[in-house]
Amino acid sequence: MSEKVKHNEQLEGIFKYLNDSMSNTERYDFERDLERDPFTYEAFDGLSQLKRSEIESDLLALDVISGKKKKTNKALKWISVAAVFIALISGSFYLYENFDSFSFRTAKNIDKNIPEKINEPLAFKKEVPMIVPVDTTRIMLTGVDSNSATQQPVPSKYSNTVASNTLTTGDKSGVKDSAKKRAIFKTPADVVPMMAAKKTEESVAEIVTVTADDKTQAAPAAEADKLLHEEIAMKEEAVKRPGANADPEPLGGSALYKTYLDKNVKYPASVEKPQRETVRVRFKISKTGVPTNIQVEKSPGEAFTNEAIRLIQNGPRWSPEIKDGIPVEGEASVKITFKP
Amino acid sequence: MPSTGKQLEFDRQLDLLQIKQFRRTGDMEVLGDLYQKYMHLVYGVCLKYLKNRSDAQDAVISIFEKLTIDAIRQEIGHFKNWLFVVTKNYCLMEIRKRSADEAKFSNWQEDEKQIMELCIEMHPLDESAKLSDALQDCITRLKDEQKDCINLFYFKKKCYREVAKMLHIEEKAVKSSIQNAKRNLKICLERKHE
Repeated sequence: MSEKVKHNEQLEGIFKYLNDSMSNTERYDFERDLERDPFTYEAFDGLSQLKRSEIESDLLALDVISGKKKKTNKALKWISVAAVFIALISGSFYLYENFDSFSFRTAKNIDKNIPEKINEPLAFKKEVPMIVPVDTTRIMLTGVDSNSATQQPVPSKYSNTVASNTLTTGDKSGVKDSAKKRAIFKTPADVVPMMAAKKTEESVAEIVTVTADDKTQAAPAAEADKLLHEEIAMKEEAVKRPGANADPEPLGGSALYKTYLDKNVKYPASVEKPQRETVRVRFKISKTGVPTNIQVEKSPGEAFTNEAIRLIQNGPRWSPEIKDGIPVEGEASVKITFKP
Repeated sequence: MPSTGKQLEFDRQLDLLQIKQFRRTGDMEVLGDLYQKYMHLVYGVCLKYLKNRSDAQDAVISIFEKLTIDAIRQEIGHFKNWLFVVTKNYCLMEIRKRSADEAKFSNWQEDEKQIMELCIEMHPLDESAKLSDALQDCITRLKDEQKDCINLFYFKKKCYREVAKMLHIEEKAVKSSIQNAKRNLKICLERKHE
C-alpha cells in the first residue's frame, strides 16, 4: 500500500489554488471551471476545509478500497487469519489455566483428605469391594453410589490420576476414599472442561470484538477500519440481493426523465387560450420495462391527453419493479406540465 | 486551462465505455478505476455536507457499494453528473437521518430539487460565450452587487479575489453573489419562456 494517489490533474489544480500559487489569470480559469461544473464546485467547498496532507492521506486510504478490490481481499484474509490465531492462542491459554487450577485442587485435596479418611469406621469399608481398581469408574459406581452426586463416568484422564493415587496408599479405605473423592471431584471434573469450552468460545468472541474495536479506535484513518466497514457492507449486500425490491424507475433516473418530458412536450396548437396545464398519467410498467396501459387521470382536453400518451409511449424505457429480486409488473404515475 | 466542450464529451464517452465494460464483465476493478477518477470530488462533496473526515470516508465507501448495484440497474448517460446526483442525494439522506429538525429538513429538500436541475443542464451563462437578448435583459435586472459580480467575473474575466478587491467585499461574498445571480437569471429566463 505504498503507492501514491494516482496523479490527478484536477486535484493538483485544487492544491495549487489553495496553496495560493496561481496567477490571477490562472485563478480565473480555475474559478471559471468551478462555475461550469457544480460537482467540482461543491467538492472544492468540502476539500478546501482540509490541508493537502490530510486530503492526500484520506484519498490514499480510500483508494485501497474502491480501486483495488483484490488487495482488499488479501488484507481481509490476513486480518481473519490473525483473528483466528489470536482466538486459538487465547482459547488454549484459557484451557491451560483452567486445567492447571483443577489439577492443583485435586492434588491438594487428596493430600489433605486421605489421612483423615483412613481413620474412618470399618463399617464403611464393608461396602467397598475388595477388587483392586483397574477401572476407577466401576469403583466409584459400586463404592460411592450412595453419596455420589452423579453416576456418570469420570473422564478417564482424571480418573487415572486418582486411581494411581489410591494404589499408592495401598489401603482399601484409600480406594474407597479416592472413589469418594472422585464423587466430589466428579462435578468439577465434568464441569470444568465444559466451562472451559464455553469460556473459550466467549473469549474468542471477546477477542474478535476487541480486535475490531482496537482497529476502529486506534487508527481512525487506517485501511483496516475501512476494510471492516466494507466487509459489513458486503455482507449486508449479500443478504439484500436475493430478496431485492425496487420500484419502477425511468432509465437514466427521474431527473433525466423530467428533462425528457420538458424538452419534448408540444403544446397542442388547437388550444384557443394557451395557459399552463398539467396532465397526470398513470400506467403499468411491464416486466421488461415498457410502459403500457396508459391512463390519463386528469386532463384539460383530448389534445393534451393524446400528447401525454405520445410522450410516455415514445419516451425512455423503465426499469421494472423488482420483488424479491424478480422483475414484476409495476405501476407508475407521471405529471406532465404543458407550457404555452 | 479551461476544459473545452470537446474534452468534456471525450471524458463522458470514456466513462461510458468503462461502465459498459463493467456491465459486461462485472469486474469490480473497472468500476473502481472509474470511481477513483472522481473520488476526490465525491469525497469533497461528502466533506462539505457531512462536515467531518471519518463520516465522509464512510460515505465514499457506501456510495461505491451503491454504485456496484446501481450501475447495472440504471441507464447512465453521463456518469459524472449521475455520480454527482447520487453523491449529493446520499449526503442529504445522511443528514436527514441524523437530524430531526423539521425546518432544516424542508430546506434540504429544496436544495435537492435545485441540484437535480443544475447538474442536468449547464447554466446558460457558462454554456456559451454569446449571450441571448433575454439573458442580457435579465442581467440588467439583477441587484447591483450581483450585477457587478457577474460583469466582472464573466465579462471582465476577473478572478474572485480581484472582484472582491474592486467591490470592497469578501471573496466569500463574491462567490455567493455569483451563485445567487445565476439562480436569479435562471428564474428570470424561465419566466420569459412562458
